[in-house]
Amino acid sequence: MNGSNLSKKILLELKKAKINDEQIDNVFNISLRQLKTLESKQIPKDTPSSVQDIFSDFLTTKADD
Amino acid sequence: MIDFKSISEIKSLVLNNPNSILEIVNDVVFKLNSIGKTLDAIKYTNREFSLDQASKLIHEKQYNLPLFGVPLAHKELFQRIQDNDIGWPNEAGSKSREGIKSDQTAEVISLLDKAGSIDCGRLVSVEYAFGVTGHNEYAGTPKNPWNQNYVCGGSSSGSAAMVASGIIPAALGSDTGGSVRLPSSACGLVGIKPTQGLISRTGVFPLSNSLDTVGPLTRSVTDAAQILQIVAGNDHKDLSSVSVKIPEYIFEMEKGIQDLKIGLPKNYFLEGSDEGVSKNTLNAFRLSEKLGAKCKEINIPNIETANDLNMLLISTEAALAHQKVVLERHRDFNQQTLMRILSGVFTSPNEYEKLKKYRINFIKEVIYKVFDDLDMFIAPVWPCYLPTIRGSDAGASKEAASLVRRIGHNTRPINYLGLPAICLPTGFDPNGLPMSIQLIGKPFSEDLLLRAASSLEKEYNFWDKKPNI
Repeated sequence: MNGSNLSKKILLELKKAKINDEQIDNVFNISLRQLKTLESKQIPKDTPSSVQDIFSDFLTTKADD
Repeated sequence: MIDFKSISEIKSLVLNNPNSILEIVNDVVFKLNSIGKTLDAIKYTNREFSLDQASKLIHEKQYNLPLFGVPLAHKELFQRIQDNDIGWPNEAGSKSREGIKSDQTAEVISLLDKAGSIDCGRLVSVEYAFGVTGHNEYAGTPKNPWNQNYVCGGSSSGSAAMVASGIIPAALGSDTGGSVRLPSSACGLVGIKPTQGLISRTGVFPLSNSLDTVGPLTRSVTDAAQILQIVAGNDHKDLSSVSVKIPEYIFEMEKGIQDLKIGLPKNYFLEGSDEGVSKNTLNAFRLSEKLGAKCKEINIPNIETANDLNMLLISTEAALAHQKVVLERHRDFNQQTLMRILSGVFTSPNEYEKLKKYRINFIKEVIYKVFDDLDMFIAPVWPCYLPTIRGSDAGASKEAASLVRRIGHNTRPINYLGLPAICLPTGFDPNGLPMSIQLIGKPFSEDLLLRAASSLEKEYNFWDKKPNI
């Protein structure tokens, strides 16, 4: 991840290994597009803690119907 | 001997003559090694181990076991360590893991053992289970048994090739963005991507902790239900596992499609699909209505970004899990895998947290809005006709990114939602390759999906169709 020393090392190693710069740019651009999509999303304050919690609540609600 | 036979047919055969299991296992291992090699689908067999497992089963005479004497083989991500501490290969389809052996037995493999099945080997996976077409420069690119010029789809490509060849009745695969459903569809099989948390992933090579699921690939809905019955259930060692009551799937399945509420999304899923693919999906929707389902058109809110966000979550978690090996052995990776893992390196810890939180809220929104008055919806699996191996070998080129994105258009959003889905073969495309639909249900509604799939399966009658290998 960005900010982790290991990820910086990976990029450095790949550059040293002469992995095509254009390929790395492509990857970076894809990642950038996906991260921009994420950036546009709003997160409500009362986010449930896990997917399992939502599923459990959903099953309980449906059982009560 | 058991070519193209169902699980029930194999069981009848071996119950009639338990000693025949040895002969059957010999034959299966032979075919995995011969046909499997021709199709580039086999990773590993261990005849001695499989025969030993069969001998013990015969000796113990536990004829009531649900999979008594049924030979299976699975995607190479599923670990096994023998009693004598010899581990089966655990390379995950990658030269970067060359020579690495299993250090445990996957929970689902233990469950299948206890049910009386015979483990006959491991089948080729796309490297790190990270690919939709099935290409793998190191382990081999499995050829489609229906036409060997075409892909099997990925990443459970070897599993699909061997089940479609009729050598084994079922195989396990894993599905993080479509990796059970895409190969099932490509090879004319039934494939189940279960609800997140229904089936244990302990001992299965990880790609994405949030999204990985395990499911069967079979030639019939009944066989899929039988395998699901064995492998579904809580596992305290897998933190994503959920404790729910497991239905009697076969019993439930026989209730049929009548009165099930089935939707056809007006948005997203049919957009950009080949005309024949859309037509195939619409036909399945109309057929469901004809068979007594209550059908209506629906909208799935905010689904448009789920494919991209699923791709981001996979690559972020793959980078987290495997960054050390990428650093140390990047030269040993296929270029496409390396680039896809690399795309997760740019996600910051805050973005990763946001990605997971957004997902949770998105799931909540969709399941309450879509499934308020609906049991399931229909969608295509592949958005296009199946490509050839040569035509889709895009490597790490710029075109590869759009190809990978497009192929997972209909499958990745379902992993992002954590929902169950079943892939069902419906017929053939103009090139003679299988086509399918998927039914997507509310959480833990695999029983309802099997009900609908079973009714539709009788109409499509795909069981009788066999590839000419």
